[in-house]
Amino acid sequence: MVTLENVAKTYQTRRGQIKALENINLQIDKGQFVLIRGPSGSGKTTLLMALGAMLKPSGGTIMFDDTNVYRLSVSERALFRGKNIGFVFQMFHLIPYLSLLDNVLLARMRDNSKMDYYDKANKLLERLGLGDRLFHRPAQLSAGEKQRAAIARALLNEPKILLADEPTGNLDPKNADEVVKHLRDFQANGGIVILATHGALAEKFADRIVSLKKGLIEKVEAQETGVKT
Amino acid sequence: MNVSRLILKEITHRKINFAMGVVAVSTAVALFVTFMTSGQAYRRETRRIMRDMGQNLRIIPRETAMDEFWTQGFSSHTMPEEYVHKFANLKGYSYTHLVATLQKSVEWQGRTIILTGILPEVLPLDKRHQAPMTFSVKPGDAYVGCQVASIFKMEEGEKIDIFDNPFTVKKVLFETGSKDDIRIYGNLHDIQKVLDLPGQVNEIKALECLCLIESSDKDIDPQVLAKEQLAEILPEGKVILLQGIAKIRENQRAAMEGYIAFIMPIILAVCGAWIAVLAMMNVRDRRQEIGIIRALGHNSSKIAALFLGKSLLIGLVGAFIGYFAGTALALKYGPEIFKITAKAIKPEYSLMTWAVIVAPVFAAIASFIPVTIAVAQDPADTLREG
Ligand SMILES: Nc1ncnc2c1ncn2[C@@H]1O[C@H](COP(=O)(O)OP(=O)(O)O)[C@@H](O)[C@H]1O
Ligand SMILES: [Mg+2]
Repeated sequence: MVTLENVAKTYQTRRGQIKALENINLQIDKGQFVLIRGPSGSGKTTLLMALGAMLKPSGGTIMFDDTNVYRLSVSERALFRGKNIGFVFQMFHLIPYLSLLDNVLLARMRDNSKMDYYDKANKLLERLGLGDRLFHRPAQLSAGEKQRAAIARALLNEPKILLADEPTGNLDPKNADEVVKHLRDFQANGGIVILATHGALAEKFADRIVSLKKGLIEKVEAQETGVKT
Repeated sequence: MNVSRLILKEITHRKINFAMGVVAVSTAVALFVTFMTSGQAYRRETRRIMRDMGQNLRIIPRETAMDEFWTQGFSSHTMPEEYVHKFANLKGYSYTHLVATLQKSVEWQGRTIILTGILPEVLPLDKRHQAPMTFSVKPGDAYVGCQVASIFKMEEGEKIDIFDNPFTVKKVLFETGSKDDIRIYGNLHDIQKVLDLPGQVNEIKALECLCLIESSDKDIDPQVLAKEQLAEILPEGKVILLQGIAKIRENQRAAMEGYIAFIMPIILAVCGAWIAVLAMMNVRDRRQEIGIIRALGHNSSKIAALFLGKSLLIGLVGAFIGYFAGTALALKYGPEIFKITAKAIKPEYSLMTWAVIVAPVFAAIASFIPVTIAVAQDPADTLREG
């Protein structure tokens, strides 16, 4: 369970302060698919980064069960992030000089056994339809394939939460659907999916739709998806 | 994915960046190695020359006042003539020429001349003797300097009388433009008689004298050794070493080293700046990579290791290439630039150890600021959009 209480984020810039998030209160339960929606600049990415233990809010608390991540030391927080949170980005952010397999294995933490993770990465890529592309470089792949590889990487450590920031922004509808399908698979296995989009993506699958506007929650709609088993 | 593998993969991906870094390091190392190798060769060769060609020694009476000696050109004191033979029979010394003289300036027929008695050259025991250095004068003969000849209107074959001693002018010498023009040379024993200094000389010159005695302490300067030993054997004499070729070379080497000391910091600064700029470019190129590695839960030490490791590797590869390139350069161009014989140049293996340690550390230090920037970078920022 993730709880956000009065979360605020103000960026300090040379031209003054930018209030990117204000007064965010939200509770997300295990197995939920949450859609963060709002126009560009409304604070979606900021919120995801804060949720991802990547960006310390300027106010409020974010709790993962009993853990207040921003109370952890920097390296403890990194470890927490590695173990509990997976990221999927619009730009994929695959490392160009590594094969798909190595890109996925990059997520392996130091204390994880090498061979187990090698197998695991293999299987994940296979499951995402990239079994025959293990040793290809990102540049040799289509956008849809790249994003699936990025999902495999996000899943390697079996995180509890998957954060996806406009994951289909660079994909055609067919590939976008496929990405959403994989996110839903993750949800189906008990994970939390938090998906940020400025469009109408995955509306019908979301348990909750949080609408952001200028850093404030405009409304939260809960809906019965009927997808859950 | 361990760090070293990541570093290697990145290097093979961004070959140019790595190669430019290696070029910077290996250039600096190569120049350094070239200088050092040639410098060492120079030193070695100087030592060899000093050993093989020897020194020009002047042995003069101990109580000689040096100010007077240098202004007058000879000592007003004397020492035993037998020192010549003592010296000639010394074991552990070898020379090519050994000349003993007795000189004194005297008033003769209202003018000042230098009477100079020459002992026929003592031949060295070994066969190093070449053509005699000076003429030798037979008893009863006199060789007169051209000034003396012109003042006194002397001609060859003429009989002259020097303080009641008869001489025959055997030869009028060509003008030398030096003190020698006011000399009258005679056989040593004749001049001793004229000056009433039997069995005395005031200078012994040993040319290209080698001290073959090896000191147990290798660093002891053979010149110093020779001086000390001769002082013991010839108690009434003292040794002056003429600055020979070895000294000149030593000065040249010092000048060369001064030049290197001047240029090396510049090379290092340029190389360091170059590496820093390359590392900075690399950090900028890899902003998102840094961000994603952070997002995946790795901490900043991994980021630092990634960049520092690369710098160390650049330093290491640069050190190897630079060492071999520098050695090759020294072998090829050393003889020309540093005026040494090619034979003297040898690879300085100890420099390799140095290069391999110092260059990577240097490269790592040079990339310190870029690495700090990489570590301090906000990962959320780089991952935000594209
Ligand atoms: N690092 C930053 N420094 C200053 N302002 C920022 C920074 N990141 C985002 N912002 C601003 O915060 C607001 C929210 O940005 P963002 O979270 O990226 O919105 P979205 O993802 O919904 O487009 C925007 O006005 C944006 O310009
Ligand atoms: Mg955004």
